[in-house]
Amino acid sequence: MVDGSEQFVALVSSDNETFNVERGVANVSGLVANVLEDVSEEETTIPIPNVESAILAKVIEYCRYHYHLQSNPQSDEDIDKWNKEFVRVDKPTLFHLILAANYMDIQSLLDLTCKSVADMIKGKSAEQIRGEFGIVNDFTPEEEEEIRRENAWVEDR
Amino acid sequence: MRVECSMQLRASPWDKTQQGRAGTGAGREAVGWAAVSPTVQEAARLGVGTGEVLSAPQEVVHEREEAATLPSMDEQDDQPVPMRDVETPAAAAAEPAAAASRGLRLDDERNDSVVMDVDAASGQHSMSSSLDDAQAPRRSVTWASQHAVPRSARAPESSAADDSVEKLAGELQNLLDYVKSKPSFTHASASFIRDHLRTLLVLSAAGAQRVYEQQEKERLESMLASSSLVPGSLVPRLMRSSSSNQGWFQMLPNDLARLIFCFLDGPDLAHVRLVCKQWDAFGKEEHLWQRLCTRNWRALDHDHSLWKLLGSSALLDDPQRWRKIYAKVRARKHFRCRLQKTGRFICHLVAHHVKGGELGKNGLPETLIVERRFSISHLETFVLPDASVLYFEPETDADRPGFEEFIEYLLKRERAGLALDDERRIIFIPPCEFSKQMGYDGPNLLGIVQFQYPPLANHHS
Repeated sequence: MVDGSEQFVALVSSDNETFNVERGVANVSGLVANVLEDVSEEETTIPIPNVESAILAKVIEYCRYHYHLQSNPQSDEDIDKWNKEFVRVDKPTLFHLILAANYMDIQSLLDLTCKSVADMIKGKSAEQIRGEFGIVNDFTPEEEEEIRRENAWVEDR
Repeated sequence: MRVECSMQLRASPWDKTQQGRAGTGAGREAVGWAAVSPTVQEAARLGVGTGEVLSAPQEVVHEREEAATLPSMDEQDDQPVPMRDVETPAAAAAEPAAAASRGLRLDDERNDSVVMDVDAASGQHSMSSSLDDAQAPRRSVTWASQHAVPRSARAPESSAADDSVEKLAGELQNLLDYVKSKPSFTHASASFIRDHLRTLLVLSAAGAQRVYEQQEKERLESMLASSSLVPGSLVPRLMRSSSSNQGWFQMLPNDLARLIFCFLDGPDLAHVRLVCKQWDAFGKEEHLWQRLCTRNWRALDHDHSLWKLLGSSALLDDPQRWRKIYAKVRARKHFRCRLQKTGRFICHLVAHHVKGGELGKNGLPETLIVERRFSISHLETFVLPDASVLYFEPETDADRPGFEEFIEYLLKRERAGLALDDERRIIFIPPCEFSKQMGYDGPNLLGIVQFQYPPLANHHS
């Protein structure tokens, strides 16, 4: 896949790590694609000031896989498996990936990461969710009761 | 001691030469593919041939001795050894490949005869796949790794040596030297050179890929090691909050938090409101509920008469109407079907059950064929009080023209349509007085599902 004739783009993370990435891979990011459209061919260094190197490395891993899918199509099942494996990270990493995907304008990665957080919420009780995300219950008993009443149609969990 | 992968070759010029030599000079080398191959492949899997000094497993030696005692392996024989004489099931399987391949035996002058496995057939087959197959390069015992590169200097697996110019050039040089040393080859076919080059290229490309992956991995690892990271996390310690996971959700801009809630269905979305006040606010966002309601029932967006039909017209002015009607919408079953007039496709429909009896476990047939029509003036007589009431909408915008045309067609003739499904009658009612009586004054099509009425004989048009 690493074609000698392919042009490279240098992406520079917030902590000044430089990543040399094939243009096609970098273009998966809407942000990068936009910048590359506007600059001359020689200008190949793009700062990504909002993204830490460790997160940027992860994002590039995602871009690379999905870019290569164009020439190496895989079954939906395999892609799904890869994606699932990709978001098997701790929560801070996952949240930073959401921010990075949003900033770098990679819609599919944004969907993947947000859905992954949603999956942590699904089917859990309010108490479990609070534990999962370290959230404090700030309702008065009356307020909580009011919501429960409105939620009467939801099956108990 | 070396491991040798040999594939006996039938009737090719250099084999003839080498066969004799192998038989006399280095008798132990004259081993049938069938006898050695499984063991060698096993050895290769274990990493032999990828750079370590090759210590042949005992079995290999053992097998060789056995093979040498086979009558067909007549060591003095100047003829190529006919493969089928030593055929085993494994050999039978390998034969098609063997037929297409060339077992190139290279003979160095130190009487350290090397049998190179130029498995051209598998090399060709794996040309594309072997790049991804980390095992691939191990399958062949590369003679150059034992010759061109001094053993002591051989770098461990996945080092740059796998992809060095020196290595590839060395292999080419060895090939040239070898050809030069065998004047008889100048008259033979060059196919063994092609085969060998092909194998070299595949191996070299796979090596390059491995080196590249290794470098990426090391790069990431060193990056992780050098920054102040919590093990297992890509996020520096500084950026983590001191107490557990606290604050990660709050850190997200609302737009992004909303995106997460987009992936929840109704019950989960209702439920998260109990988590905290911030989540309650998210869980009350109307656009989320609107999306959930209209996902399967698009008409709710624009057909206010439908809200009336559902008995929820009071909600129309309610700023939280979507959240409030959701439970009702969710409780209604919907069915997707094809609508046809006799022999002609009209459109795809979504049929929503609105009131009356449930449709039973089979719901609606996949295809509804409007076979008959009757005057809408008969509806009052024909529609039974306990009938199921349906609300039809076109499934997509593409279905809308056909759908509207069908309504137009019924209206013009003042007819209701009738489809049959065994005992069931499915009646299609265009907007009319009767549908108003049913509580619907909008522009869409209503349906009635009931059993065995109207009687068919007298009332079709």
